[in-house]
Amino acid sequence: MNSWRLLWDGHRSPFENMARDEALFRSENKRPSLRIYGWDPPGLSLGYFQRSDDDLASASTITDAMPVRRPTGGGAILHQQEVTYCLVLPADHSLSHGIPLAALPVPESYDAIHSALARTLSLLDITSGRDDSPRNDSFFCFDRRSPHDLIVQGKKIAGSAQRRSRERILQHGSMKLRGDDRVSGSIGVNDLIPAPMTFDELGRTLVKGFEDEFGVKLIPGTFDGKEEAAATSFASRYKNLEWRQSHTKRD
Amino acid sequence: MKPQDLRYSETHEWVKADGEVAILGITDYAVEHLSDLVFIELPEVGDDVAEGDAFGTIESVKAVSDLNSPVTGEVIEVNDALADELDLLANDPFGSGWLIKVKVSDPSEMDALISSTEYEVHLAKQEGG
Repeated sequence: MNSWRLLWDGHRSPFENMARDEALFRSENKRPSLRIYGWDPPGLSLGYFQRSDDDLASASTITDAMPVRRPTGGGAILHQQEVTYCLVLPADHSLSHGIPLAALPVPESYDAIHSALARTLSLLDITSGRDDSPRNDSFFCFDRRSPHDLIVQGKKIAGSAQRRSRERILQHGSMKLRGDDRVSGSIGVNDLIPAPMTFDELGRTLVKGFEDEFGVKLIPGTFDGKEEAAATSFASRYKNLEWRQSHTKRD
Repeated sequence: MKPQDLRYSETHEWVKADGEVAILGITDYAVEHLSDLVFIELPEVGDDVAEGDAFGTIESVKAVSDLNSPVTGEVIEVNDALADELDLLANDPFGSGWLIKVKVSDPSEMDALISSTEYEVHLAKQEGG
């Protein structure tokens, strides 16, 4: 059985979280890595290309979560009462499907990884479906609808986004512990099961979902020295919400 | 059939050489695999690009992907129309959907690129797993 690295990474600030995900994405370590983490303080992450002016001002009326821009696309996510995962794989990795991820159409590769989240929900006897409603582009990711999102009772329980380079594929996303009334389309695991789960319990179930779905063993590990150094460097960049523009202009 | 006057990379970029200038784009296969295109980020005129390195990014539904350069050189023109009209890339990736023009510093890098026939064979192998 193949083994992947499990990084049980605790609760960290929004800047650290995005920096640590990117450090794994840029790492020379080719071993597949699954990072499980939470947010302290709560974060409001924006998609890579998402505008941050009017919509963010509007969002600030419903949350004081700390904004940060993700390296991935999609809509804004309010990160609290959730377990967040980040899976980083070599682009030529084929999961258990036989075809390298990079050779799959992007939505299919996304769906292939997302199947681990559906497996996680099935371990909790929660039946989820894929979203077949028309795509929209609401500010909040969990108000958005696109194929391959996981839906329970018509509400989104998990959503993810990818970043791709020649060498790596990163997919990170959220599974909600509780739906958030401020985001109309979300629902959480604890809204659906009789005994509420803790962060650690849902995190462990998520790990088992990945292990079962892909036939791998997740072995606890840590960031190596280069990855820690990269994460520290990237964190200062992520403190600037407009880091993408400053990066683009190559100041 | 892919255009025969272009050179290709196995990572689905194309190059059209015109003297010391190379026009860069991504293939129809790349566009189809990305699915619906949402945003694009390209370099500015005067920026340097390096063979194998990312020179921009493109967002499609569910993913932000690097755009990689098959050549090294200086950006001398950018297809600014794409910022407002990504359909140009979606519908005509080998024509009006070109991305950037580069003044190449090492023309021998073109030798590492493959012909349209070789690219078609590569695609067939990739599709076969």
